[in-house]
Amino acid sequence: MAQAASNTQGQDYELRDPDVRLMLRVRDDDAAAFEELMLRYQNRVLTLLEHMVAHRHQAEDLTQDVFLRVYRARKHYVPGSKFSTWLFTIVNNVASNAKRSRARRREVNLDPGTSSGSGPVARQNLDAIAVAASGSMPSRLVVKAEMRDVIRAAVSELNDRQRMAVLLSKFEGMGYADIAKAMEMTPQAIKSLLSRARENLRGFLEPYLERGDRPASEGNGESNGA
Amino acid sequence: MTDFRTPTGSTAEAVSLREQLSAYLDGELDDTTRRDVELRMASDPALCEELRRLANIWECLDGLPRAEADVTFTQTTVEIVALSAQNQLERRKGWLSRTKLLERGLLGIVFLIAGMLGALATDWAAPPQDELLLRDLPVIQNLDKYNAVGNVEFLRELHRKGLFKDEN
Repeated sequence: MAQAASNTQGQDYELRDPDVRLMLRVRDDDAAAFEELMLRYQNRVLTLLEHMVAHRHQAEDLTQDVFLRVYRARKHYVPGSKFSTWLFTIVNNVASNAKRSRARRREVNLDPGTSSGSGPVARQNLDAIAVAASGSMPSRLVVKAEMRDVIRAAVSELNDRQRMAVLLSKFEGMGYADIAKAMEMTPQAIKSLLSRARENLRGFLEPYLERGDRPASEGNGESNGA
Repeated sequence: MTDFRTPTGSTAEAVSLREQLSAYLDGELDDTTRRDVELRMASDPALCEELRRLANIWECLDGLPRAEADVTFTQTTVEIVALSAQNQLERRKGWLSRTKLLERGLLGIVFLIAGMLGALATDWAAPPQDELLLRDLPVIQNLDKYNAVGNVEFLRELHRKGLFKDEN
């Protein structure tokens, strides 16, 4: 009974989602279909990973890792959700693994100069940007570039889960149910996560947006894992 | 009026309301809850202001940069995947040939054991000819005597009476 329902759901996704049909062709060793999927998703995956790890080169390596995993998993692929949801589950796992191994390396290195991305360094960057913004009147382009950097720094201040949820919601337009699937959480947990993320972003960005002030120096209160 | 920024704003009710507002902006509320939130906003300017601020912050994220892979990226990735697939295939081939070799070895051992078991079974079921001859040797050696006497029972009677004692 449950098996039959699952099969029907799979056929639904196959009918509705062209990317599911492409992935089924990849499952049958169609190289052209794989390339097509890559072209459709590589920039989206790269964008997400770049915001997650804050290093372009590492993000590119991880993107390649994601597509390698897609290829390796092709024979076991069963359309149980939208293709993008399945793909971003892999992206989330790859990003989490990268973060974990990076943290382990950092523990071994104990080199404060090499840390980057979220945390104090991102805050220092933002401080520098805020100071620059409060100086001489910049041109519109400079303001725009500064603004972009401030927003990027604000996003990097979020913990990993909040950041991933924000990026999937904002960039991928995914609903709570799909984000929950991709992040292996419940929709209710995603609702709370996004609400807290909005609060944290607001605490970070509002002082800058309203007065050009440096952001509050205290952290967001949920360093990681919230 | 709803207070979000003061300490009372951290109560469970305020947290829940903030979650509702966030979900409202994401279009994730069911019809009933959505109507409740809208009714509440109609009578609460602070709530409207809160929603406007949250929406404003969310809109700012449109300014986040999007990455774009360069032209060689796809090609490189496809090459990496192809290489990995080839390695996988070679590993599989190697594994298959090892499995085949193992299969043949096992088959040989099975045949050997079967042969040995067969020989043992044959031995057990039918004693070999040599063993029969060895067992019957004393009879064969004395066959002429037995033929001459013609009656084995008579010989046994003589043996019991000690007629052959001196010969031993």
